[in-house]
Amino acid sequence: MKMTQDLFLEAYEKYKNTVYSVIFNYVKNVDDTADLQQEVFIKLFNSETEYESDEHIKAWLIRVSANMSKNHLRSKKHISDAPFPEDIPFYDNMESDDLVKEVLKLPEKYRIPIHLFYYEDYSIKQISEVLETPEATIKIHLKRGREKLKKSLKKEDWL
Amino acid sequence: MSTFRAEYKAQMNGFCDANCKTTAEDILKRAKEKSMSGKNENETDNVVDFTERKTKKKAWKALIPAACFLLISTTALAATGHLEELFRNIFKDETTAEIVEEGYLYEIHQTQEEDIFKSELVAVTGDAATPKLVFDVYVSDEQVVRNNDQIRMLAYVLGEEQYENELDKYGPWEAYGQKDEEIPNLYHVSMTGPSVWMTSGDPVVVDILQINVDLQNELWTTYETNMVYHFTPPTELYHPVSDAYYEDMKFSYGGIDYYLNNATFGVYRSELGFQYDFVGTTFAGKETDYAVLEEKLHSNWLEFVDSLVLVVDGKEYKVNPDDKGYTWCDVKGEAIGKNRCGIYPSFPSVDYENAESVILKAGDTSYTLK
Repeated sequence: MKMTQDLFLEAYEKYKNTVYSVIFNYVKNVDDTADLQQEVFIKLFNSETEYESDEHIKAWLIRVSANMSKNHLRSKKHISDAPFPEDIPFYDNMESDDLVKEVLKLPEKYRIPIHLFYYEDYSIKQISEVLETPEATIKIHLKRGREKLKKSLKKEDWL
Repeated sequence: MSTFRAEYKAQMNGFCDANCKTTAEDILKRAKEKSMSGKNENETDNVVDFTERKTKKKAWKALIPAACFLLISTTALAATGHLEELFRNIFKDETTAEIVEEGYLYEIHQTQEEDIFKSELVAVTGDAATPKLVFDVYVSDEQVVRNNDQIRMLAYVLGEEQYENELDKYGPWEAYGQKDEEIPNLYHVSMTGPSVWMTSGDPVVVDILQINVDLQNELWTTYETNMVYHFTPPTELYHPVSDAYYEDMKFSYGGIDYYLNNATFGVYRSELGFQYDFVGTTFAGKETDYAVLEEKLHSNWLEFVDSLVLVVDGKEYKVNPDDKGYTWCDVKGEAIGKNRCGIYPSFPSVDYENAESVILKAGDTSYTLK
């Protein structure tokens, strides 16, 4: 199916949080996330792709969100797996969102698979496809990400 | 009992709902403004109908944001959209248009001027096996512009070390530039480059050494140029390809044993890599001089690749008739072994990653690749 105005509006309502959360997991900045989220959806609106299903649209949105976020980080020359900065403003306003904060503290290579696995209910195969990374690598990153989360959350049997 | 999954989803949804203020209508309006901005001056009085936008968006202009939180990076977005349009409408290359749309793009924007040409190396895109360079070439000579819907460009595309020390070992790459639909003295060029240098992560040099134009009535003129660009494309900019390596897969044809060594499955094509030794074969007899055998060897491998059938989930693919591939012989033993040759037949692109079964056949010989 080709993108139409109705399909676009439906996709936006359905996947706005998907796109927003993936981008935020990369860029960790609400202003940049809002900008990039719009760019992704404008791309969707102008897309010539023939979508096979809602899942196809969702996978396309996640892949484009990931690629645009990486391009954005590269353009700002701050690609880094450095620890989550403690002093950025929104962090102080997230007192009750402990889990989101802890996931955001993970290095990017663990953070994104963890997010897609737990938030999007994506399988290892789906994460592998959408991030274009071998399944074996995703398995290792999920395992290590979980280990780090268990330590930081101090809940060994929760994940 | 709450789970990490349920708790994480709830917190992330709360965070998104609290921060994502933009409505679907806002985005739709922006998207339509985006389409509007792509129209030329004569079209701006008309409302862009959704069904028409695919043929009318062309020149990208800066957007005026409706509200500060809607401010987006128009420069980057405009460049991406512009390139999508170029590949779709000018180069008729839907595959690359989709690659650009998905964000596989590295913008360079370096400009060099010489003689009647001002050439901008705009960006690099493509997949990891077939990188593509995009140039915008402005021509200042009105007569040349009048007489040419196309221009021909030759350029070296090499690693920095190879460009500085081994230029004589390599040939230039060729591409034809297509005239822009609106700017009469602008030509767009999409040139395929060598993956070996462009995907290494090391510095690359592009040197436009020649541009050919039709001066009048097919009186072709060559402009010798030296427009040089230096850049380092990041390895992750390209759409990924699937590589596979093989052992002990022998195909005998015309007195030569061709061994399948590797394969690359990309979005543009699938390339198989075979190696063979010609010395001591029934094909060569007692002859050991490559120069003597070259022509016959050439005929033999072209016949051999015609006999190959790539079978993917039951569907059969033959070698590309317009681009059967290429060959290379290591007569000095500098790379793969003295008098060892490689042939690299090219097949249509297939979905290797999702295929259940990939088989290569030639005559009675058949091997399972996946």
